[in-house]
Amino acid sequence: MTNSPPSPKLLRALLLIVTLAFLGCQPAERAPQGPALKLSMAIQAAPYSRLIAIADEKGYFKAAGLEVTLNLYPSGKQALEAVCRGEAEVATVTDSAFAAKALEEPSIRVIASIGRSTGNQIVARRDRNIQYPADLIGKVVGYTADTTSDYFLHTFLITENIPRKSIRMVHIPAAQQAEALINGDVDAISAFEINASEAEKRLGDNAVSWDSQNSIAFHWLLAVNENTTKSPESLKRLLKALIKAENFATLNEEETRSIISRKWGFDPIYIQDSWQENRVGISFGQSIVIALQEFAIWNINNADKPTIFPNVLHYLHTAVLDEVAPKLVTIFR
Amino acid sequence: MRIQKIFLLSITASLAISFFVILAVLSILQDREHEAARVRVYSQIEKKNNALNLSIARFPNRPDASRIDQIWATSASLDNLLGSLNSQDIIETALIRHIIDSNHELGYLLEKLIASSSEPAGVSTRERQNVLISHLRMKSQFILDDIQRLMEISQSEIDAAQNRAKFFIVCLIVALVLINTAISLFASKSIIRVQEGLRKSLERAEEGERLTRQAQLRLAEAQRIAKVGDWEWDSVKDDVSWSEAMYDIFGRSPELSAPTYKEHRRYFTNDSWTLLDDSVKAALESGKSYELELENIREDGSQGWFIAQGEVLLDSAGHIAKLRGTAQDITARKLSEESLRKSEERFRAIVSSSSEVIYRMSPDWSEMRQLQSKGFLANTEKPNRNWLKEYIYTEDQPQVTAAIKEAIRNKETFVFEHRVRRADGSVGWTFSRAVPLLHANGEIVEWFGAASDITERKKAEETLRQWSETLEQQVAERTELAKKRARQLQSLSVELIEAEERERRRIAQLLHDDLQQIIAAARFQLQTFRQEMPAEPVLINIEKLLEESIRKSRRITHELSPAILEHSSLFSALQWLARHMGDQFGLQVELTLGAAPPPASQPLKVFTFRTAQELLFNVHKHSGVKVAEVELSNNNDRLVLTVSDRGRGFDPESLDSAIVKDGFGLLSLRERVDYIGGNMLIESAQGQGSKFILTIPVNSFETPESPTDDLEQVSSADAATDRCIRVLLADAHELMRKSLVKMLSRQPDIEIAGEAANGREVIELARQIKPDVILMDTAMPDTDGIETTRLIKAELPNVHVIGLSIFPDEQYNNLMRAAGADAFISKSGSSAELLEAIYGTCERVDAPQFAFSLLSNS
Repeated sequence: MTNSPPSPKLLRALLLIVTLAFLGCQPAERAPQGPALKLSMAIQAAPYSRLIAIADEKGYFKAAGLEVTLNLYPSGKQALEAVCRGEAEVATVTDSAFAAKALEEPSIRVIASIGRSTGNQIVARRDRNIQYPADLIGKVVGYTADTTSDYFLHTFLITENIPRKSIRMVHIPAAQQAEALINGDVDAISAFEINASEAEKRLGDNAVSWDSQNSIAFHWLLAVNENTTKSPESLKRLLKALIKAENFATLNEEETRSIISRKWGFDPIYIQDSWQENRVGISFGQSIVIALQEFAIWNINNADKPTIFPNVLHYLHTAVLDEVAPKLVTIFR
Repeated sequence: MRIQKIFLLSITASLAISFFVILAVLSILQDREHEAARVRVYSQIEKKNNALNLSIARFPNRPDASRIDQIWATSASLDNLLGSLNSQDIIETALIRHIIDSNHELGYLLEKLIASSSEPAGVSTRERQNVLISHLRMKSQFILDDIQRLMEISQSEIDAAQNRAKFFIVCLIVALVLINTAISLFASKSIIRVQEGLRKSLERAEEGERLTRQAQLRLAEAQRIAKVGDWEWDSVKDDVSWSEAMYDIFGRSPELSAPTYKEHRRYFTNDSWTLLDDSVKAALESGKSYELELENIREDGSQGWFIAQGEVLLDSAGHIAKLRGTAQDITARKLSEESLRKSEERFRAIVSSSSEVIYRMSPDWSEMRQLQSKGFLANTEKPNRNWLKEYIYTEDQPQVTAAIKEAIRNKETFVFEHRVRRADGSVGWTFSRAVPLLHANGEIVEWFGAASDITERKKAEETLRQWSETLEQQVAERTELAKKRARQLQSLSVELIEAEERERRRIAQLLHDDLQQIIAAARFQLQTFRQEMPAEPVLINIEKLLEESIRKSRRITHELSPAILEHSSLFSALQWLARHMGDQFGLQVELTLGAAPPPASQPLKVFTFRTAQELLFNVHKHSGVKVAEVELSNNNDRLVLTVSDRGRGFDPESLDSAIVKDGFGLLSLRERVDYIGGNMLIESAQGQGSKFILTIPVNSFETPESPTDDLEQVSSADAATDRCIRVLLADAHELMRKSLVKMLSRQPDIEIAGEAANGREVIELARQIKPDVILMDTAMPDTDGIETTRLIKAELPNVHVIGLSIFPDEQYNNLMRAAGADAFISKSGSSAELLEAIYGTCERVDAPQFAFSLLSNS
């Protein structure tokens, strides 16, 4: 039995335990060490690419230790081709264009989806006696091969009960879609959202349009070459920056609109009108597998030569997102 | 109380914290339950969706009504489930909205699929159904993806809720631990404080007890030291108690108990006992206190005295119960008083038989008890506390007081001489001496002193001191006068040296300026005359005689006043002297000069030079050797000149009788050195050479100021012409100038441009007329030829200067050369030499080699 008071060391130890317990509950976000990693991206300037625009504008890339170069292309297909040529490391591309390219280029990989869109439309000229979808019969319809423009024109015609052979389909590069319709080179176009919007705007009352996607959204994917996945650090940083951008976009809708309008020169009215047709968010869900399967089947069916149906899972690289945010990866594995 | 409060407070805090934490945990668990319920709904939606997918995948070309109903039922239940979803979270809300929209679109696609079988043919039904089924699969999968995402979010919320609950529980545990620890800490501290308080109280009690014991001991000790005891007597029981001091006073063994009242009888003389007994009885009867001085008899039989005090003590009823009192031993005081009485008797006896002042002082000298004097001081018969002012002279009082204090402190004899006020009021001197009378315990009882009248002795001493001071002053004055005389003698000696040197220079000047110039002029005229006349032997002889006259007078002049002394340093002069002794007398002088040059004092230089010259001359005349050594060193403020030889030597003791015919003579030399404050040491013996060491104080000689004349800067433009050589004659002697004019005017290409008699005139004329050549005599008044040459060449470098001197000496040649002269000619030289020098010098501009050869030839 001693009369000495409790040791101050004991009190200090208790205080230390409480402090450590408190600190242990705090999320620790550490800035990346070392010099910034360079990353070249081939992207299509579109409303569904807005996470990239935000990350670039708000400095999330730099904060994540990335020095990103953004190269703009008229379509996701061309952006993916740039990656295949080695001109860029990451491309933004639709699931349908990716599926088409995958049949000839087995080394490309999807690392995540950054958005979905339902903005593709069929735009036609009224002065070519087109009022309803059925009026397209006998008309010249422009489309961009191996893209959503191609696929959704196909499904639009089927669902509208219009035989494919009853119209004349001509391939038009994505960047020339609106111009071809306005010039009267074609009677109608199956166009990407931005091109459809421009065509409608310029044709005014002379334009008639229909949703060509049947409310079925396409995925806006991040695609890379397989070799890029072997050094995944820059891809991890990219996804971290885009997740940060997603949080910002969720909480700051107005500013997000302002950023993409300012950055890529979009008409604010167009941004406003198309807002509901585009969802952004980082994910890797089972719908990507289903979509790629569907598009692969369609491409094989349309192929000129017999093609072996690919294993879609072979083209999916979930490891990067799995490491960055595993809860966002929801495919069946 | 404090501990109880702390415990109550801690229990209350623990309960409050536990209550709030439990509430928080319950709330979290409720949230978790809500999320779990939401997950269950998501799971049902997922199942319904999968079921719908399955139905669509197996959709036949032509479906029956039951299948269509089944599809719609599944779709409807899916709708219901989706309708039950809601969330506050912005992401969840957006996802739910998307799912609901997708479900509506899914319904739209189902309608299309169901209707496809009945639509008209265009595209094949199967193909259209395949597309729609494909779209339905995709749409359904989008819904499932979103559901998955919602489930992940809910799961995250559940995990987060669980973590929060864990955290709160941990916090609760930690808080309780902290509170209990704090309670333990505070309780421990309180207990320690209580224990500390108890311990201090105990210590204070022990300290009080110890202090009481100490006080008792101190009281006993004090009583022992003061020889005061106390007693108490119960008169009824005859019970007596004594303190320890009482035993000491009566000499009774402390081991015994106090005696009874009756036994006290044997400790008193009869008279004292009777007195005491009466007083005690009176006190018992009347209650009156008493104080008595009694004589007691100690156990060992010795007698003592003490003061007895007694008083009665009353009981509660007011009756006399006890007697108590004290006894103070005064034996020592009684003995001192007896001793003092005897001392006083002795004092009176001494005073009556002494002729001096006798006095007695209290132990601390505050009181003069008695003073007896036979007329010197006023008597004091009664104690006097004002004795210091009355007897001691005011100015001496502090010293007397200090001496008294010192004597008291050391208990030593007081001895002091001081002034006093005599009985007649005048001031006198006394020698006072007092010794302390000490008690057996070492304390001073009294001071006994005697004082003598030393007034007369003091007066005699003062007179003696005044005489001594006067004598010392006179000695100092005489000493100062002697020093002044010595300085004057030293100064006079220096002046004598200078005067002697001036006289030498004056004689040499006279010889040079008058006699030699006349002879030289005569010789020039004779030469001029001879050039016009045929050779005549008489004239030639006359010319030779004149030359011999010039040579001899020049030597005398030179010895009297060597030019080197005027224009060079002492080192140079001694070097010249060494050469001169060799040339003149064949005496080889080995000269050693110190590193530090001596001060540039002309008198010092002359004295040193002349001294060295005299000593070397002695060596030449008396040593019998041809080699001498001279050494000069500069030892700061003293020059040391040493002249030695290895000749026959002499006895320095015989110096007083030695008389040197030429020069100063050694005796004279030594005296002159003494006069200027130096000394001369002679080391010599027969056959062993001689050594003279002279130490010369530098400060005995003033440093002369060197004359400086600034010349104005003038144009150096030379007005040289090619018609004639324009000559300026510079010579102090008119006769010499006329001779030169006569000789030079015969030359057609020489023009006499002007004449000057002193240095200043030469400089002024040279500035005005800018001659081609100046014939410059070295010896001129005002500024001599050497200095004038230096100034002329500095200002007018194109003017050629030819030095002329009656001395053909190399020394003058060198001095003029150093001053800038182009050539140097002796006045004893021929006129041809002079003309050659003039022409050669003028051609020297283009032919300098010729000029130098001319100089060397001259």
